[in-house]
Amino acid sequence: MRSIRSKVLVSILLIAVITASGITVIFYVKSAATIEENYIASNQQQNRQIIESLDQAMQEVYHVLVEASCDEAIKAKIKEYTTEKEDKTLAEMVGLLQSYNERDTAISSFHLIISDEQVLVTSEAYPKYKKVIERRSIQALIKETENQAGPLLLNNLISGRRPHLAFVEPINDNGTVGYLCANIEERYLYYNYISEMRNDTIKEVMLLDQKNEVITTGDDRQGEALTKTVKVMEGKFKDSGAGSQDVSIDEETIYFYSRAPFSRCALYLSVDRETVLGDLTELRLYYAGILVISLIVASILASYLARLIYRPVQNLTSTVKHVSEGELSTRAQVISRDEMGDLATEFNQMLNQIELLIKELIEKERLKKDAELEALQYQVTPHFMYNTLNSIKYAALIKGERELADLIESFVELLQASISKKGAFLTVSEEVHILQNYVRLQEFRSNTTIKTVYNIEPAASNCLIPRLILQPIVENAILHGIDIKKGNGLILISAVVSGERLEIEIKDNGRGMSKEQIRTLLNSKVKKTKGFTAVGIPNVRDRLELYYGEKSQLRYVSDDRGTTVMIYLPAAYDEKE
Amino acid sequence: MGKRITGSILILALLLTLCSCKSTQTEMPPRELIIGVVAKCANTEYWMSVRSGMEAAAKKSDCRVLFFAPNSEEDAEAQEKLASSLIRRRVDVLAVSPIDAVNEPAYLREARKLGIPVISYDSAFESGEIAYIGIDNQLAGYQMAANLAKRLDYQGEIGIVSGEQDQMCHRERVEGIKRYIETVPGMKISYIESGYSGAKMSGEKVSELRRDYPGVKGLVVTSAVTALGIIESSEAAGLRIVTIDVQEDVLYALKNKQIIGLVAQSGYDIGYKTINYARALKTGQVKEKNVIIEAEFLTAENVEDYLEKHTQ
Repeated sequence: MRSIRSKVLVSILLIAVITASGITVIFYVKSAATIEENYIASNQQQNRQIIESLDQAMQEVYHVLVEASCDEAIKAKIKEYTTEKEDKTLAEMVGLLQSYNERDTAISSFHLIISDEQVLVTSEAYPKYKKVIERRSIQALIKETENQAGPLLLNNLISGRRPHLAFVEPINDNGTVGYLCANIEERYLYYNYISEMRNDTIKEVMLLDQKNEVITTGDDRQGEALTKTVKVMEGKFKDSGAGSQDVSIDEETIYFYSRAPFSRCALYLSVDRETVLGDLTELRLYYAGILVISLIVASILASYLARLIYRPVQNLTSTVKHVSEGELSTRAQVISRDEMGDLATEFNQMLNQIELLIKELIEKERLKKDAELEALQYQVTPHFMYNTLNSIKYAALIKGERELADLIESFVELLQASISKKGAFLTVSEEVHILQNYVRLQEFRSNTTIKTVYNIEPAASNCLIPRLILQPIVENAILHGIDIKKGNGLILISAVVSGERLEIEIKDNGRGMSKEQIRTLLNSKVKKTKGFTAVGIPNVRDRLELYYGEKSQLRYVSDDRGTTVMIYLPAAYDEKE
Repeated sequence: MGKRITGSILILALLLTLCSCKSTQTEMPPRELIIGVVAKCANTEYWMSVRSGMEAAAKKSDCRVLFFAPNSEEDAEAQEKLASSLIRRRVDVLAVSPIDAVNEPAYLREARKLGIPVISYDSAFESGEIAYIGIDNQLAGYQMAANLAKRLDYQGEIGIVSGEQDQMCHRERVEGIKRYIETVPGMKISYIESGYSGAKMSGEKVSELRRDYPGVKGLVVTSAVTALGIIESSEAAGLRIVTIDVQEDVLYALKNKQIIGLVAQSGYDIGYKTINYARALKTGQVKEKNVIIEAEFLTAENVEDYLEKHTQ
C-alpha cells in the first residue's frame, strides 16, 4: 500500500465500514429494544384491561351476593324452613336465589347453606336442594372462608367436582343463620379472560386466586408441571401485592404478572423472547441490505474521492519526474485551489527561479571564457617578442644606452605581466611593480616626470587582486586626469586591509571628472582591447563583478582638484578564496 | 499513528454499541394506593358525582378506588358487609359515609385491629373519633331555615322532611334548622318527617301532611331527591321549599322557582377531597382531623352565577 491513492481509498472505506456497521448495530439493538418494549407495554395494557375487567365482574358478583345475603325475604324463608322444615319453603328459596342468579351472568349458581339444618339450596335447575350435607364439609367451608375476603377456590358441596371460584357471605338474622355462596365456573373465566390470550407467542397463561391456587390455565398442564410454574411465578413476583402489575425478563422469557386490587386474582403469563423478537428477522435482513448498499455507495464515493484527491498529487509527481530527467521547461498543471494547488504554483515558481539562475550562470561562464580568451590573445608569440626585446635591451647596454635598456626592461616586464600564464591574480606588490614599469614608460613617452607615491600597507602587499586591475585606472589618470605638460602631476596609490576587506585608493591631482563623465565611464560597455591603453575602466568593473560580485565595489569621487578611485574587494591571500 | 486512529475509531464504535444496549432488567413499579370507599348509595346523581370526584382525584394521584354502595341509603347491613369485606381485603384506607352513625359497626373494630385508617365523608360518625370530610351539616340546616324564614316573613309554621336520623348528616341538618327556628318567636316546626334518605315521598303522603298540618307554609327537605319528589306532587302547590345537594334537576327546579333555596353541597368536591385526604393520611401529610367544605346557599337569583362559575 505505497500509493497515496490506495491509502486514501482504504482510509475512507475503513471509516465508512466502521460508521455504517456501528450505526447499523446501534439501530438494530435500538429497534430490538423498542420492539420488546412495545410488546411489553402492549401486553401490560392488555393484561391490565383483562384483570380490571375480571375484577369489575368480581365486584359485581360480590355486590349481588351482599344484596342477596341481606335480603329479608331469604332470611324469612330460612326462618320459616327452620321452623316448619317443609320442602315447599326450600323451593321458594330456589326461586329467590334464581332471581339473584339472573342478575349477573358471571354467577353460575348460588348455594345457600342452612348450616344448622345441614341443607343446601341452589339456584340450579338440578338438584334444587340437597339435604343432609355433611356437617364436616360445612365446618370446613366455614373455617376456610372465615375472615377471608373472596373469591376463593372451594369444593362443590353437591357434586364434589373440581373446585370452583366462589364468594361466601354469612346471612345474619340475630346471629348467622346460613351462608350464601356465589359460584363462578372455571369455564366462564377461561372463555371470558384466558382463551383469547392463547397464541403462538405465549408459553404459559394462568389465572390464580389470592392464595396463588390455579383457577384456570391456557393449556392442559396439571400436577407437577403446574406447581413448578406457580413456584417460578412466586419466585419472580414474591413482593407484588394487590393492584400491582410487574414484568420480569430473563434471557429466554418475559414474565407478566397482574394482580387485581379487589378480588386479588392474579393473571400470569410467560412469553418466549425469541418469538417476540421474531419480527426482527425481517428487520435484520433490511438492515443488512442497507449496510451492503451503504458500503457499495461508500466504495464508489471513496474511489471517486480518492481519484479526485490523488489527481493533483499525480500531476505534481509526474512533473517532478520530468524535471528530474532534465526537462526543466516542464511545468505542473494547477488543478485545484487548495494546498495542492498552492504546492504546484510554488513548484512552478521554483522551476522558473532555477531556470533564471541557470541562465545567469551560463552567461557568467560565457563572460569568463571571453575574458580568458581575450587574455590569451596577449600571449601570441610571447617568446619571440621577449627575445627580440631582450636583444634590443642588450644592444642598448652594449652601446652604453643604459636608460634605454631600463626602459626596454620595464616594457618587457609589463608585457610579461599582461600576457603571463601564471594565473588571473597577482599580489598587490606585483601589481604595484607593473604600475611602476607602466608609469616609467609613460614618463618616457611624454618626456616628463609623473610623481607617483605608493603607500602600501605590509598586510595589503600580499593580498591577491585580479591581474592589471589598477593599471587601467592609473592609465586613465595619466591620460585624462593630470596635466602632463605642466609636470606637476601626482598620483597617490594606497592599499590597506580593513577587517576582511582590501581597500585600494588611486588619487590624482588632475582636472577631475564631471558626474556625467563618471556615470558614462562606469556604465559603458567593455571594448575589445587594443593594447594596454584600451583595457578600460568597464573591463575593471566587469572583472571585479565577475570575481567578487556584490562583495566588490568600484567608486569614483572627483572634483576640480582631482579624482579619487576606490576599489574595495575581499582581502584574499590564496586564489582558492 | 494510523494504528492509533484505527484503534480509537474501533473503541468509539464499540462504546456506541454498548451504550445503545439497554439493560433488560425491569424496575418494579411502585404499588398503587388502594382506597376502599363505601357510599350510602350509588344510583342517585349526588352519589354519582361523589364517585366521579373520587375517580378524578384517584386518577390524578395514582390511587385505586374500590367503590361499593348498597342499593339504598337505608341498607346499613349491606353497607357494613361491604365495608367489612374491604377491610378483610386490607385496603390502605377505608372511606365510609355511614348509614348507621350511631352504633359502632364491626368493621371499625376490624380496621383498628388491622391498623387500617378509616375516614368518613359526606356524613360523620356520631362518636366524632373518625375524621370527617364534608360540609357543616348543622350550618346547612341553619342556612336553609333562615332562608325559608325570610321568605315567610319570619311568621308561621314549617315542616321538616328528613332522612334517617341514624345518619349524622340528616340529624345535624335537623338540629341546625331547630336551632334557627328557636330564635324566631313567630315561627314553629310543626312536624319532622324522617326516613327519607334519598327516597321520594309519595303524593299521598304529601297530601296527608298538608291535610294534617294546613298551617305549614314552608318545608325544609334534607335531601334533594326527596324534595324533587315533593315538588312533582300537585299537593305541594304553594309550599315554599328549601333543600340541599347540587344536582341538575334540583338546579333546574331552583331556576324555575319550584324551590326557593338550595345548599350547594357538591358531591364531586366531597369525593375529590376525600381521596386527597386519604392519600395525605397514608403519606403523613394530614394537617387537620376534619375537612369542612364550604357550601354556598343558592337562590333563583344567584343560581346562574353559580352555574357559570362551575361549568367553566
